[in-house]
Amino acid sequence: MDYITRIMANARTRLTGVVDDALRMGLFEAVDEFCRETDIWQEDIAFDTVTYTPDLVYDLVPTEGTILRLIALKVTGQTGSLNGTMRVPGELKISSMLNADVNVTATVSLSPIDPVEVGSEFPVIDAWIWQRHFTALTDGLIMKMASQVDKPYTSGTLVEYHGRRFRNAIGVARADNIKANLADGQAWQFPDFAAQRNSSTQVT
Amino acid sequence: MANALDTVADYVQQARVLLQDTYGPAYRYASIDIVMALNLGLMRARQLRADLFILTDGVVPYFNQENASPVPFEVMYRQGLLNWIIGQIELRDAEGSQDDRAAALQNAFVAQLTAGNVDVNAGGG
Repeated sequence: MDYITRIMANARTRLTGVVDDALRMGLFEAVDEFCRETDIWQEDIAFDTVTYTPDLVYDLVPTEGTILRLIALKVTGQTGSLNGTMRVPGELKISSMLNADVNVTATVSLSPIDPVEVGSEFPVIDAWIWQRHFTALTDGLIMKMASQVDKPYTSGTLVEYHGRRFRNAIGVARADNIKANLADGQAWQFPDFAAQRNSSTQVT
Repeated sequence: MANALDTVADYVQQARVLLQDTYGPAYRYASIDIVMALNLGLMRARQLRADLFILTDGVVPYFNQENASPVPFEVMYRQGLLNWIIGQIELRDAEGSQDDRAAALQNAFVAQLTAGNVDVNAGGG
């Protein structure tokens, strides 16, 4: 049994009278929220720069999914970070003055595209996310379905229980992502007000 | 995969069984009346459970004759829809007992769509 099948089976057994079409919609919402709040699905997009102009915009196109945030921006193969912004997701502006033909790697976080648009029944994300977080996604799905009004499976108790587990899992996944899933890694981070930033929003 | 109550004709046929109106062609209840009750039941289901009509983008199917047209309705709620149809047909009867039974059947369908663990056979009679 693959993980998506397991999630659907779990949800069916817990939600009396639920229909699969609605479950698929709910699963997309759960996966989308999980990705949006954790930034765990990421992709490195490499491209070559062109001659610098202040308003130059690079359109970033991920292999799958839709871009959420700019996580890192570096000259490929180097460790130092570049300055850049992405006010509109996917439209990268590099503040650092670079020569033409420099290979740059932008790391972006992603969320799934509506499965209907890509001809799939279920959200398309990296397989490891299903494997690693299937319990969290199950909790998110059940929470979202049980919160619908006037259904046989409407349940405040389920919403509270699975909602709390889902929120906790998001927090754990976010922290694990920051630590790159390193066991016994730094379990804390500076709060936003204490983080070091410069005026041009350097991303690392 | 074939299931019970796949088509308009299936609903009409099963409704006639429960209405004890199986000897045709001079049926007590006209086929078009049963088909219309089916349409009304689907409309009621659309009001209560939009999630049952996701694949039709919220559009409620409409039928105007007894034939083999598929009725796109979730399998687990088909018996409830059949009960609704019978209730709708029995509303025309003037006897008080029939009115009670009709209301019970239709209420059972509504309850099945909106609440868990409802016995859809609790229509009385």
